[in-house]
Amino acid sequence: MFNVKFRYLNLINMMILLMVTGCAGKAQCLKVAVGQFETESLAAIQAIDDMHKKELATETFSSVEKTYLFVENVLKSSRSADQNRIEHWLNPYKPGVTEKTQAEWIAFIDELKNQYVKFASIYNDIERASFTGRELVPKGIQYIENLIAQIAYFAKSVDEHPPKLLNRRGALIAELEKLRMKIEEKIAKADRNKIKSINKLSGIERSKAIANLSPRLHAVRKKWLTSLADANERQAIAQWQERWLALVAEEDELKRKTVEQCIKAVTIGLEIRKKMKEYNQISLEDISEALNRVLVLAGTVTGENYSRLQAQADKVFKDIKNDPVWQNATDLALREVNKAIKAREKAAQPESDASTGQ
Amino acid sequence: MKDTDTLTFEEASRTVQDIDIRYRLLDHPDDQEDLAPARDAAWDSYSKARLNLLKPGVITTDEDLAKMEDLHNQVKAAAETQDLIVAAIRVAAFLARLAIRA
Repeated sequence: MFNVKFRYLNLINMMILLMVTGCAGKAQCLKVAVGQFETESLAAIQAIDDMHKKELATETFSSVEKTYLFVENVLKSSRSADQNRIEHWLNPYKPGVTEKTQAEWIAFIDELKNQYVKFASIYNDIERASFTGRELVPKGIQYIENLIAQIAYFAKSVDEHPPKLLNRRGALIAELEKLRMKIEEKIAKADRNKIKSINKLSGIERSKAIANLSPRLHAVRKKWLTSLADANERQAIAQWQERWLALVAEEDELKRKTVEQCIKAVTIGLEIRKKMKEYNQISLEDISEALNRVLVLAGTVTGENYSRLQAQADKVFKDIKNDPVWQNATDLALREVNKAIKAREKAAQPESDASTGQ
Repeated sequence: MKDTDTLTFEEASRTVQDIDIRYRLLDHPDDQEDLAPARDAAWDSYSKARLNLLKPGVITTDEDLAKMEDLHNQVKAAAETQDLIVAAIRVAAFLARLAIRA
């Protein structure tokens, strides 16, 4: 009899252990999925950071070009050398973003990263709390919803305001303008020669030549512009076009990569949120299937062409907009936008009053 | 209708482009040095404008972060409780097996 009681006790112990280890499988899948969301979200934030750094980056110079530029600046300048001026002679094209603005950007990126790391850390010990902490899992939903909405917002913002490599654009446009100016100088010289030859004429011949020249001056100048460009200049313009198109393609690629990474994080986040909601009703098979989907999703978003990616992004934004659960998060985002606009308008008001002398 | 942040960003983008081209067309380093403060200010405005486009999207608050930390601690406490339960069951199972053998 005594032995039978112990057998029952042993059986109950085994059942409890089985329950606990059964829950542990589910919790392990959840932890991996949340970890994947953290990884992809951090990659999305990094992509935004890299994108902005590239926007501010200057064109790259070889060491020979750098030295040439410095020597030219030193020789041409009529001003005395001091630390700031030497810095200017060394890096004349470096964008002058203030330390304060740089610090604000870094703080923004760091704070964002911290949010996603903090969220993932909630589930660090979930495997060990698979049974006793299972009721805690859905409590994280409200936070993942906000975090997903944030990344979706960034994707939309980058899509609507794509990156422009302005420094490199400026360098290329100035190069083309310099080339055109060189050809224009040739025209001016030719103009002067033509006028000289007209001035040598006299009487009716001279009048005829001037009448012939004036009305058609514009067309003639254009013709000269074309005819005076030599083979080297033509080749330089053709090469310029290639470099311009390559730059535009690079900008498109930068936008595509950034939006793609954001959509990847959002898509994975949505899948996890769905499973977190049903966490206590679903089986180990359900959640491991969801984990599989998460890992597959991470791969499928990559390599899309931009129109397909945009369609995928539109679907994600539509899902978020139409789901009543998301209404809070999106409303909150909109409220924050309005608040920021009003605050800026309020801040700008005294300045404009002051400038109008009111 | 475009919002203030969008208009500011577009304006900053145009200004940087215009001033940067003007700056690069100046051949003399002294002329470039004179234009540099205006160019730097334009770049600074552009960087701020990009940040202002993104900032309104952040809706997670410091309070949310504190609550996440709290939830993390609850999960941690639950893990410690579960560790104890599992340990107790294992001891009980071990004792039961000993009793059965005896």
